[in-house]
Amino acid sequence: MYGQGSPRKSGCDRPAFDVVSRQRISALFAALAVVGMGRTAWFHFVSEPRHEPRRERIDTRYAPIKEFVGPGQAGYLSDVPPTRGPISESGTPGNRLYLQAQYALAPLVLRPGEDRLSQVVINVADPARLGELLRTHRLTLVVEPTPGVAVARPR
Amino acid sequence: MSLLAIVLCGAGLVATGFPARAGSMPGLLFRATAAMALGIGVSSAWFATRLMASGRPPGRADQAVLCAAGATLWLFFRRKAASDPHPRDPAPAWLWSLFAVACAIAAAAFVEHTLRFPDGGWDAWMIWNLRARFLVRGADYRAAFSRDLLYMAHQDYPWLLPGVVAQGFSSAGEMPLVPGLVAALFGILALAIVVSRLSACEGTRWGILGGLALVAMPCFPIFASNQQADVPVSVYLALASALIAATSSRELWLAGFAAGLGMWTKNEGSLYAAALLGAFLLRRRDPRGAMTFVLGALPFAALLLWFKVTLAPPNDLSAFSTSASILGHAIDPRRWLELLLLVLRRIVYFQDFGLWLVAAAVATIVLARRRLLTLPALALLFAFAAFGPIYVLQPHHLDWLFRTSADRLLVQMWPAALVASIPALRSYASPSIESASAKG
Repeated sequence: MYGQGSPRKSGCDRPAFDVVSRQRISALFAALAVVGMGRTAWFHFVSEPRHEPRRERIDTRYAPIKEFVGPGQAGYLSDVPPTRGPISESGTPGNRLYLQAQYALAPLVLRPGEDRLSQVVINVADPARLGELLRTHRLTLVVEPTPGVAVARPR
Repeated sequence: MSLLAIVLCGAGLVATGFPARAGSMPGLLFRATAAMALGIGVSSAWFATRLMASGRPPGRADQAVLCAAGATLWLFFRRKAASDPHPRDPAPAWLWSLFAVACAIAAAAFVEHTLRFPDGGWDAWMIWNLRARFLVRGADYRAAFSRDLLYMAHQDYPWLLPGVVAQGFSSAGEMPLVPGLVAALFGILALAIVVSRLSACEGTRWGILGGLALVAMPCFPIFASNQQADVPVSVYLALASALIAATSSRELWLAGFAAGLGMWTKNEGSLYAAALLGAFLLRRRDPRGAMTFVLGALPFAALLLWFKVTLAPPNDLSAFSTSASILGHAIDPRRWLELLLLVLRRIVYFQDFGLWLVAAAVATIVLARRRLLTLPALALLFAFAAFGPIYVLQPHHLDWLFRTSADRLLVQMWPAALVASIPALRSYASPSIESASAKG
């Protein structure tokens, strides 16, 4: 059917390989789709299960301190503080810790760097540094129900 | 009750927006899909309006009003003349089979990704579901937009998606399943709009091809399952792109309405609405039609303005910019060159796009040279061009911002690009071969 080089609307003769028919467009889409499906299947069912561990729910880490914080606002301190200006990378440990704590503890508003509010949430990547943060900011520990996540108040 | 309000509102809007009856099953499916997308959007916008006006979420009385308004519109506008006959270009069985396999793989990938990342993508818990939690948990909804939060929570973003999720939480309880189901629904709507619109206007073959191009795009199931606002805004952009190509003023009004819902979904929605309007004026030179489009978008533009003026803190792109930084970036040729290289690299980014973007780039060049670009395709090119200066002039590290946002912008525009370009591709296909094969 395609061997004769059918004339186009303009009337000029064109070689068969240059004719764009709906069958050829369908075949091209099908080929692109097979490539896309192959990539999807490989990534989701082979590569990701091997290399990307299943994430734990964010709430799991922060659920134990929820009963110790009141509504409104709380200060937020960390050994890896979040970035507050223009950034070159959002996925830093400090940003991740802050944003995950904010997500879990909403509607409590966490104010980064603030240590004089009546309640201060401390969220550290290295639990051994909790004492150092308490001393530096002159805070008293209220509770540390999970290693690295604590509530404190000003002395 | 809230589901009924969504269905009735959507049905009323669609009855109002289409001057003729659906002439085919795909046409009917397109209207049903549009009704669902519009109903969800209206319900969320009403939720926001009520909160901002009174500080309280909508109650049963509000839902009854929405139900009554939708039912009234439907009753008033349901009688219509018959529409044009449905173009017959059936899809062969092998194409249906391939499409079914592609849908199955995408659905399985959606489930796998949702189980692996139970809180969704980074932006889902940093922005969208965080906002939904604030809206549903807080005594004062304004805390969701507090300037004391880190700016990365993007308190200035419009909140159609958080509104939908918060309403889901209110109805079903704060279950982790709710944002996942909302994400799945918007993914299905995006696919259904592409398939049904192209099937209704061009024939089933072209609808299935459009569906394949969406569902077999490797990053589509990932973005759908990420619970972010990119797929929802793609739904409204695709709907607006499909409707703005129509000639009746009622469809133009509905196109504006859909574009307005896109504005209430993401900041980029305003750019897309402006691009659609600009392309319409350039191509049609019809100020009355343009006004009709603007009238459709007006309620949501007003809602967005109200939110931006009264509640939203400044956007980080403007807050961290100074006149000196903007000028410095504008005249820095290295920054423009860096952007160009990043764009070129992204087109061949196989992991996310397979080979679809390479094919799309070639098709765009071919169609543009033959002056076959449709009105919505022109609008998408305007939007694409407008993102260039935004990337260059913004204050963050260009490579980081591009890396974390370019794929999302492409996913936002991809369903609309299919709706816009496949009709042109069909008209490019050799008519003589088509008629020969139709006889065969």
